[in-house]
Amino acid sequence: MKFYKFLFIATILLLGSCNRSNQTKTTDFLKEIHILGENSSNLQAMEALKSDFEIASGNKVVFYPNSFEDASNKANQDFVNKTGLYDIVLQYNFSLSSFVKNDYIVPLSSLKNELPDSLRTFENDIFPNVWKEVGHYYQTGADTGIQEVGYPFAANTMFLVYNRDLFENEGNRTAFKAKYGKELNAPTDWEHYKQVAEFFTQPEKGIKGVSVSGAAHGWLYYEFCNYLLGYDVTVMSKQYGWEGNASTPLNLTSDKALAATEYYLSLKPYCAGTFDKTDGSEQINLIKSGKAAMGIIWSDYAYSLVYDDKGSLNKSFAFAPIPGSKSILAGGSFYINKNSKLKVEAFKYIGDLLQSKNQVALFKKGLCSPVQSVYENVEVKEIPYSNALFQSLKQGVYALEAGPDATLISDKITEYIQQAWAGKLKAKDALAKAQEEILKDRADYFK
Amino acid sequence: MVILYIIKAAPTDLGIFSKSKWLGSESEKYPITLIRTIIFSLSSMAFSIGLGTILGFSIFRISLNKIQSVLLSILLLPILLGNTSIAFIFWSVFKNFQLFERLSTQQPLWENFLLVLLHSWQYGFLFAYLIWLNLQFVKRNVLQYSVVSQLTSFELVRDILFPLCKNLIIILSVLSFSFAFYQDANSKFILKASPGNGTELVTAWLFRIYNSGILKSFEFAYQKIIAPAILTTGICALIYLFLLILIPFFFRIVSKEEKMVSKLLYLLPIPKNRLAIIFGFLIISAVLFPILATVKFNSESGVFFESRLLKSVGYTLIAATIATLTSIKLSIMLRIGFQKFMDSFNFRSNILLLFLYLLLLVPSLLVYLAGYKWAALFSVTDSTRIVILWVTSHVIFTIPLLSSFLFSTHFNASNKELDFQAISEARALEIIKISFLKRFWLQYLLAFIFSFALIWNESTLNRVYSDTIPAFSPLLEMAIQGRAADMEIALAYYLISLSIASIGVLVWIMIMNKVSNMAKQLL
Repeated sequence: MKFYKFLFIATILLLGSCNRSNQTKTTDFLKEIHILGENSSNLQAMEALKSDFEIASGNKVVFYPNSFEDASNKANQDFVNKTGLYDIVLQYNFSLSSFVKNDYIVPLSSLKNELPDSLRTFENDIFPNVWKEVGHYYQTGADTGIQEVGYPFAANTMFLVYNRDLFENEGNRTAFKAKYGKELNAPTDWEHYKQVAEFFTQPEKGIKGVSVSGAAHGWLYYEFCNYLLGYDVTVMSKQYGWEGNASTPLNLTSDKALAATEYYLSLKPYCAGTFDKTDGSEQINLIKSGKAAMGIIWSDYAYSLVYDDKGSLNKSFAFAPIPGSKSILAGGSFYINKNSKLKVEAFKYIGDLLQSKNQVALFKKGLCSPVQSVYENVEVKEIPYSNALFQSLKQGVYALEAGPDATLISDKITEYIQQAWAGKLKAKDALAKAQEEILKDRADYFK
Repeated sequence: MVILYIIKAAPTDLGIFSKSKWLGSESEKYPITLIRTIIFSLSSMAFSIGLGTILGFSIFRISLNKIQSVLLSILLLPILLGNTSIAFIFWSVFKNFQLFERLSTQQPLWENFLLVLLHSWQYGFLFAYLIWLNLQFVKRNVLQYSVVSQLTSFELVRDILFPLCKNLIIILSVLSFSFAFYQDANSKFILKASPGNGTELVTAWLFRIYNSGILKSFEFAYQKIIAPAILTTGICALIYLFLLILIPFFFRIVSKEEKMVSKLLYLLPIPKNRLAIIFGFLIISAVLFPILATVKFNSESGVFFESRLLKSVGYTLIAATIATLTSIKLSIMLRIGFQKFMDSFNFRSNILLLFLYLLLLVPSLLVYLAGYKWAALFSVTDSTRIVILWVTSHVIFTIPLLSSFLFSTHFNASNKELDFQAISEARALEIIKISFLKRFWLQYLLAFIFSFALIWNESTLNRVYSDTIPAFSPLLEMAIQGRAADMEIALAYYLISLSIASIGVLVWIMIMNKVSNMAKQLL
């Protein structure tokens, strides 16, 4: 009997802790702006600093951090069902085509007048190549002429991270110079990169030269495109990732692509971890734990390498742009929902976020800022990866697909490069198969 | 509602089933993925049932009135932890033991076999416990007969244990098959499944094709997956039905083919009391080791109290209660209403069971999309309606599973007994009370605990409504994988999951302690 009484009381207590409404009291705020995005350091930075805007505007800002897949699906479902649940959606540039062509979002042009010119000076301060890559698209109803679609919420790239302690160790420096006749610095060309990877591969010490992401769902594909870029080739020949149509030719079977792939596969002996199980997080773990001397990582992962949970700085790692003179560009934009009832308020919040002062504060919390002047700030310069990030963004070009066939291309390249890495296919055959299947399927995506 | 939604939204052009139209280069890969999934599911079913049966028989002599029987409740932990926590456990264990580096494998066969073993760990011990529990209600004179008659182990298994567990083994087999068929967490988080490494199963394939198409539009993505999804449901249902026919047939063979099976069983004598207890402790250790090792491997992490999940616990309790009560009522009504054929697994009862279970044979992607449609229909901006929708959805999706389990449990209420009560003009409520509630109250309580665990750990509908009702599974998934992955946070969520599962086990231990005391008094 006592047991059942305990159960009954426990149930009542638990139910009593339930709040009927999922929203905190709105009596102190005029309105609530709802923002959906992938849970990342970028989104967490914005959420950490929302209170100033809330106080100034009187509007509450509510973030809904989700996994990448859920954020994408929730955004699409909200648009398709016209429910207007989210006022701002933070999505990546491969959503541009769908959002613009399906008329899901409010174009910038219709809202710009809501902010005075003095508060829109950031437009001249955004990295132009970044903005064109992640926040522009074809004019509606045309395949030529471009329009501004959204302001970038982050400017991401991939850069090199290396173990500073290993590189600055005098013994290592002497031995490397003796073996290769070069200084042991951050590699600036791909031959040097491979030599460093080979040098630090010491299985008896449990360390390998490099960590390479080989997992599916984009991880292999994103990093692989860096190697393609290093050999001056991209999946297609165009200026921006979102450009192209069903007849845009692919370059996967070119000599340069083959050379890049063979180089990529030659890194296998120097690769830490299990290739096809290594995603972005695992790559960071391998580098952090000292199992890999260096790696090419996403810029929004750098914050977690450099700062711990308490905000203490870890100077064990150093950063540099990837070898060569080009870097990949990625990132996403703020998209305002066409069915939002708070379009103006949402736009004003975005404008507030993009002010230089706020961008500096956000950068210090982990945002990869799309605003150039942020990188001149003294405090920002002290962050170990800021210079590498700035240089990479400055030299950033298209290297990742962002059209409606982006995921298709990513999946096919991943599938066959994984097989090539496992030795089941030769590089040439892997690229040929990937290209063949992409060409077979992509026409449907442009109809 | 899910089925109606699928029918309404499905294309009417039958040409959509033509491979060349909807799958392109995937037209050859879908059958391979489907076959891989079927082989994996059948293997997982065989292994988990085999493990569960052997272990269950090995410990059956641990009687209800012994303290060791109470400790066997720990075998419920894996099912109460849920798929995502299990994936986190073994991801953590494999990583710390560097399993994949040591195996140096990119061999799909090994990796898929690893999934089979993980499935067996997750469900095999539960099955062992359920079989053990089922055998505890065997009449003492039956067991005394086996001792007095000096039955060999083979005869004991063939003539007493197997027949007594036949219905339970059948239902657990088909449940195990359906769980494995749409398995996703282990392959996603541990194997990082992909077509390139030969480990992609049908759930992952459907999501991949859908996510690829969504960059064009929702309609395009839906058109690409609806035909294979319907086909997959149909094939899964056919195999399910086939198993319901095949497994009873297997039992008939085993009972007749003495020579074939006796040699095998000679190697597996049923342990006596003390040995059974030792077996019991070994089994409990096999369950606890990876669970506790995960905590040890990540012990530097801190723990936090996730207050927003309290709300979810409350709603889960409500949904679990409604689902359990409805399932009990439904399965009793089916037993009484269709008395003539609802006393065993036969063709008609199999069809009814299939119909009941059909909803769970639908791919999780369609459930995911249907969830969004319902949210839109019921005005997603109103949080109260979302809560009602959340509870209703979970009740709908939990009832088939619970009802199937109780469906086979109610076979133990014989037709003779029900006929006797009818002749005696017993009222319906009396029949229900005497033949069902009083007899099966323990199974009903267990069903409630399962119901809570299933809803709490569910990762499809919970993701859809997670912005309104914070859910454990999506939060743990984000902490394990993705741009916000953080091992400290993942461990903290895992500890929350372990705490809730442990509370479930403790509640069950308290119940079992009471039952054990009652059993002692009867002696």
